Amino acid sequence: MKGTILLILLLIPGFIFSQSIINGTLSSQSGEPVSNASVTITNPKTGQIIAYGFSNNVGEFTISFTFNTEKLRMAVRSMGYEETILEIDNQSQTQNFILKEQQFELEEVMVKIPPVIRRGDTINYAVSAFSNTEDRSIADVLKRMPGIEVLKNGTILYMGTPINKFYIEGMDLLEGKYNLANNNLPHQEVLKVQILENHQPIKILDSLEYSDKAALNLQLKNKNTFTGQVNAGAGLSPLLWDANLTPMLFYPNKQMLVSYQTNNSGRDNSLQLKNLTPNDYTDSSNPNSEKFDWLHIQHLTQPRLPERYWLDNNTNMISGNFLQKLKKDYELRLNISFLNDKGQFRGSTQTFFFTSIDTISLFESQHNIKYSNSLETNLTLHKNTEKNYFKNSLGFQGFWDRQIGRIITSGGPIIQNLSNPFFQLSNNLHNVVAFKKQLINFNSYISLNKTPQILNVSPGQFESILNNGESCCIYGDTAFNLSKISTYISR
Amino acid sequence: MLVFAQKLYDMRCADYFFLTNINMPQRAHFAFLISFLCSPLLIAQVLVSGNPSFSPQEYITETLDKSHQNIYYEYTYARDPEKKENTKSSLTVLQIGKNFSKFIDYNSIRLDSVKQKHSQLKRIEKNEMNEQLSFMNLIGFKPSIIKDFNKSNFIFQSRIPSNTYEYIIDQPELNWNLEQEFKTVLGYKAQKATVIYSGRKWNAWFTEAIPIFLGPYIFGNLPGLIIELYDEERNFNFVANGHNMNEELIYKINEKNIIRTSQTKFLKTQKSYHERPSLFLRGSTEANEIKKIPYNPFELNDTE
Repeated sequence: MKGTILLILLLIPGFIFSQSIINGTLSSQSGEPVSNASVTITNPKTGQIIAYGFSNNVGEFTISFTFNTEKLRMAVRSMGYEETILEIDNQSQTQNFILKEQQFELEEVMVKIPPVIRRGDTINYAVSAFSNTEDRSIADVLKRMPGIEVLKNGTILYMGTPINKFYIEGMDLLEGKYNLANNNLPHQEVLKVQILENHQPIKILDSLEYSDKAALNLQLKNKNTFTGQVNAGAGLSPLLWDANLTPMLFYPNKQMLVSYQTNNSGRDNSLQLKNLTPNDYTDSSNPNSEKFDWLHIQHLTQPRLPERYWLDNNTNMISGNFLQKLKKDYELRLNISFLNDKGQFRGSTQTFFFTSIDTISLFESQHNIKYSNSLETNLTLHKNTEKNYFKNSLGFQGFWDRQIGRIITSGGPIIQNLSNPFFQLSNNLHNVVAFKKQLINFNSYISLNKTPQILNVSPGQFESILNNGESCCIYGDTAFNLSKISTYISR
Repeated sequence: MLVFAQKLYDMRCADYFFLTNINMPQRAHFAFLISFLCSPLLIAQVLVSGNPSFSPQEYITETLDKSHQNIYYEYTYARDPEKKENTKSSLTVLQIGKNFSKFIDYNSIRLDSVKQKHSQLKRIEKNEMNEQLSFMNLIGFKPSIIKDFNKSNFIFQSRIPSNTYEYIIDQPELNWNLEQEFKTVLGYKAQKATVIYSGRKWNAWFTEAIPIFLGPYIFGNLPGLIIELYDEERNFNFVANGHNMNEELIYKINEKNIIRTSQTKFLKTQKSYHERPSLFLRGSTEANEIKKIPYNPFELNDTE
């Protein structure tokens, strides 16, 4: 019984769907065989493709299929020839075609070609790829990045040239005093370090004035970051300490970095307050913007060891830096720092002169004490857009420095007393505006400097003759009042 | 050092990764610097700076044919089979000539023309390298596939740093299954057909209105042009988006040091490059482990 059903099932398709084989050749009107043309067999009622094939090199084709209709539609298509459609019976047969040549026309459809994205001159370093477990601040990681060098004084070099800006999230909180952030910002907070090559800090001059310097930008992991550094250390006999408390805050619209550092263990914190970027070109023309010592006491030769092994200091440093974004792209920035330091230096030299008769020995012992108190403040209003650059910074610098030197020789002590203060009040205005196709560049630098430096040496040379029996005094008091306003127009 | 730079320069930046502790002098004069953009969402970008200088690579091609039809396809693909939602796209083109057709990333053609221009220079420096790299970064479809109508085979040419490989496969037997599904693509009525090829199920939409029996990759042999093609899992998607009849040269690379191999060997090499890229890029550096590059090949079976 089962066998019979199977037999019937096998036979039914045979009856209903018998296989048809259609073959033939395709040639052009000139008698050439047409190769690689398609031959499709479709159901004329539904348009459904039943079978298809392609002609070979000599224009021959063979299509075999099994389908149950009386009529079939046969279509021959090839590029460069007219489409040929024929109604045929559903049975094996031979069909030869002579195809009419016809230009194949397709409507052109334009393609948008994607532009090449060249991402300026920005180089990104992922901090995680360069950091080690022993690293603390971002400076430790920077040292390891190829192309970046950090000098002893903290200057960051890229390809051997100092960077011109140090940004945190694109904001310039510290200007040249970036050591404060670089040495205190934990590297875990930083996602990547970006080097902006050929960076022109003044946006309106971008692409007009070429810069060969690079800037550095730190991209943080979080939008709102509150972080910092707290560390303290102490040692006994003599009592030594080293403490650092540096909280910092980075928000999209405000940034803050405060630091208190104190130590007497030979670390020179004042480096962190040094300006490390090359100044704007307005400043570079001005030699009086920094403290200059006209007078000196006799210095000791420095030992050939790193400073931290011999420096006898007592340093307190406070620095506060605040940046607030205002309306209309303005930024207000306040930087205040105060440094108090007392350094002591002792040394002695013994010199022997060997003559044929005698040996003369000279002994000189020296003790220098350096006191410095300095206050630097700077208030800056800043706007940097593609159309307008405005920067006004008002600054005060005060240095209350004193140095005392005692030299004890066989002829008695010589005492040097130096007072070398320096005061400066300055205002720097820089404005660049576009006026039609011109750029108007306006600069003003006004400063008042006072350098009343006095060096007292006793006993002086030939006291009784030159100084009416008083000790010798070298006196310098310089006050500059410089005002320079320049305006120029550049295309 | 220079060997290393040359290798990187050869490399198509298929991924973002970082090279750490590059063994180079700390001083200012070191030769170059290469860095990679770290965000996976952006186009991976390699930039060269410093002052590298090489003599240009030879650029020799053999012109096989001229195209009379160029069909453009937008190519959207997932680089990482684990992360199919992260897709990238590029533009590919099918150039059809009398005896040959070629399927290639449009940016490969642009890169070739830049290479040709640079091959006439005395030295390749930073700017030239960056120009080449900016095109390399845009290349989504790596191989160039030339179909020889007369021999009915395909010549594959592809780069794995730092060599060009070539292998030939015969026209595979494609047993298309015609489905009764229709839709309109680019204004043409298209019918769906499916086929299993090299471990993936492919869906093609072809139109009888255009009697070109070709398509993206090695696909074709349907009674009309394939105007849309994708695999069942949507790793690779091609959609026709343009057409013109400009006469373009159909050429193949004919460098002296091209490596002629078989498909199986090529796929093995390609796979090991994705797994251990550092082996291909070592040069004079320490053998730093560079991150794996996700591997998502068209061919899942290692066909011989």
